[in-house]
Amino acid sequence: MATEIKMPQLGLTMEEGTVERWLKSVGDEIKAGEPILEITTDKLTNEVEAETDGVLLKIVADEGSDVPVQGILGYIGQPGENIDAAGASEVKVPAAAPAAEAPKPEASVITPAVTETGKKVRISPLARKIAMQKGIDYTVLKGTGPGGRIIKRDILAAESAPAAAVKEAPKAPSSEVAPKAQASGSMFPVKNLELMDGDTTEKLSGMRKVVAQRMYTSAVEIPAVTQTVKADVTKLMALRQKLKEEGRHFAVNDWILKAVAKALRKHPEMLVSLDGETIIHRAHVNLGMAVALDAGLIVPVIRDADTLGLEALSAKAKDLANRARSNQLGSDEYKGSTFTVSNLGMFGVESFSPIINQPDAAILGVCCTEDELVMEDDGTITKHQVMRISLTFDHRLVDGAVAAKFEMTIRDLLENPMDILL
Amino acid sequence: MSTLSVSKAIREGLHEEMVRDENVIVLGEDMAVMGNVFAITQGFLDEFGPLRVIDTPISESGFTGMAVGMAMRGLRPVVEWMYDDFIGVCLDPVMNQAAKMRYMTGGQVKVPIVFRAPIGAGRRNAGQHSQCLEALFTHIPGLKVVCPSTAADAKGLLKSAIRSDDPVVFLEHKLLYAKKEDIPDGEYLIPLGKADIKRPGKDLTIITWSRQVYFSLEAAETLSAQGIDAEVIDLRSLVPLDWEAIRASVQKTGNVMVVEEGARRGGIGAEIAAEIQEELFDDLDAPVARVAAANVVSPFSPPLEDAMFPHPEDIVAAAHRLLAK
Repeated sequence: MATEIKMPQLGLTMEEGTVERWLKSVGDEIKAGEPILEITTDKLTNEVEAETDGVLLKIVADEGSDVPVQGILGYIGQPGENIDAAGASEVKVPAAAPAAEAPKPEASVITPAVTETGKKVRISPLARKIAMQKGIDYTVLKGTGPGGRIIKRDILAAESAPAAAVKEAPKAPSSEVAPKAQASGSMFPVKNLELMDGDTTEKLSGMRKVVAQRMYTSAVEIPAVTQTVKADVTKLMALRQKLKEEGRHFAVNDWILKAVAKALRKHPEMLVSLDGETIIHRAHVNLGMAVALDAGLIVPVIRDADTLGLEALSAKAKDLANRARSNQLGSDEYKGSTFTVSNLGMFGVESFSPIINQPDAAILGVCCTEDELVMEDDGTITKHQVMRISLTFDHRLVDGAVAAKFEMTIRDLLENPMDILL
Repeated sequence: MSTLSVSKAIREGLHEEMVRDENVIVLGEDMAVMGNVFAITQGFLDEFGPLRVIDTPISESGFTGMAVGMAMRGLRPVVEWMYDDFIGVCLDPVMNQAAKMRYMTGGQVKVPIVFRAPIGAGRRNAGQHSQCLEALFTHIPGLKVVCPSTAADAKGLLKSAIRSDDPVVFLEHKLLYAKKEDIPDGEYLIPLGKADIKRPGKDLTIITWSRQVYFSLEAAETLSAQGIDAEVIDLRSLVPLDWEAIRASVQKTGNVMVVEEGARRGGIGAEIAAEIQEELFDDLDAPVARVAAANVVSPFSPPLEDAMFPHPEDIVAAAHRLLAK
């Protein structure tokens, strides 16, 4: 029996992967555990290993093709084995398209320029490109271009045909709006914007697409509130400077991570996730840490941050950030956060409203440190350093007063830095 | 704004440059005493004198070669050939001297020269006075080739051409000279290599230049009434070519047509179509169409001449074939 090589799921958010490179050719002998191809996800490049011994019988997904998770990449079996026979029992499970989603372009469906009957399909390059983007099987369409060529309008007509059918189906008059939205279907509606002089376009893909999807989902699902609190960090800055002079350098962010971890331990009501109508109370303080990359954004996770001392926490944060930037994070290193910190202080941001990194219930935006004049009790004016922290929270789970108390705890820790360490 | 004919606009541009820079001189047949057959240099002889406004004998090879030498020595000559058809007798100084000198001397010598010449069919001038030879010039590396369609463009582009340190072939359609249009007041330049979107549209891109811009706009109006929204791009300059404008438009419409008055075989349309299919294949919904003159000698007979080169109805018909509707 031939064994399928399937697209693995390398992380919670992975929906599809791209075949980067086949390391083996058809006919090559393969040992179980041996890498057979490389795939890239939105975040990483990984090797897929063989699960059984045998020879590579067939490559289904060519290099460069996007395949959904659990989609079939190829087959391993005994030399001379007939895949179709083997596949009769095994391949009947369709390549796992996630339910309730628009049909995904699957390499095997789209590529033929020849129909099953062997007839050549006349289609314009543009029409073929649009068909592949929209996952439309053009081999069954009738073209209306010169000589029966399938052109753009034929693909667009094929796309809108099912939508029209959906629209007619519902009986209740009020339901017209909903199916329309369903038919247009995606969080990235096509608006056919006019290009202006000098504009260029690129496909929304890879990490950018994942960031876009996650930000959209969070923004749409969560009734979010942002509250900003000001902390006097004069003492913290002085302590940091003193340690620096002693040769022990900690980033401002290290202190904040430590303070947040400590505050979260004290406020478990912030460590929650909503799953349907179930509230999950999280046991671990797993701090997500937003890291900006050229290609987008990634959030590596410091596990059990509350159990780490400042030095260990600092080292861990630095290591994760560095490896995030060089695309060397393991897939389990950006999963499992229970709270996230996003620091834009180094860019001079005075206040902002970050978007919650689901399934967390809150995210802390850290703003810049700036000088302020303060009137002391004795009436003198002195210069202090202050920093604002902006907490965005899910108001379904957390109320304003609860969030404010959590922020006050963080503020008190930042204002009395020795308490962070104790 | 003031309203000027294309020939007056060219005169104004040339005049401004001659006032601005004493190195700018004009020479050619009937340029001084007569003030040019299209009155481009009327009054110039009195104003600038015989050293800067020069009547030449009917000897294109001689005065073109002389002008290239002047340019190499620091003057900025504006040469006129009475018709672009006459390039046949003076190609060497253009193709082998002006176009190549800057490169072959490693930049020690520049050739800042403008060759002006009327082009175009429709004036019943027969085979030797009706050609559009843009393609011939664009094939020679080292030459810039400019083909204005409007009065405002003609003036602004001519001034840029005169200020260019490289040789520019400046081709004016003889049936546009009398066309009156608004032009901006005061001094302005139009950069070489920047196309002008004459009419935005979403269904079809018509790439053209010179007199065919007007025919294309007329065709676009007809098409618009039929529900086809054509974008018309006036290239204005063929070398350098505004590829970005072409790319943006093709990516928007997916259907392209190049309209030119020159002969179809080996024409500019062939070149642009080839570039588009190499660079933008996946954006094409149909093969790039060419609307061009037939591969024949310009007939003297008016009905035959009209049948020889594109008119608006030819563009409309080609659009229907291209879009299959």
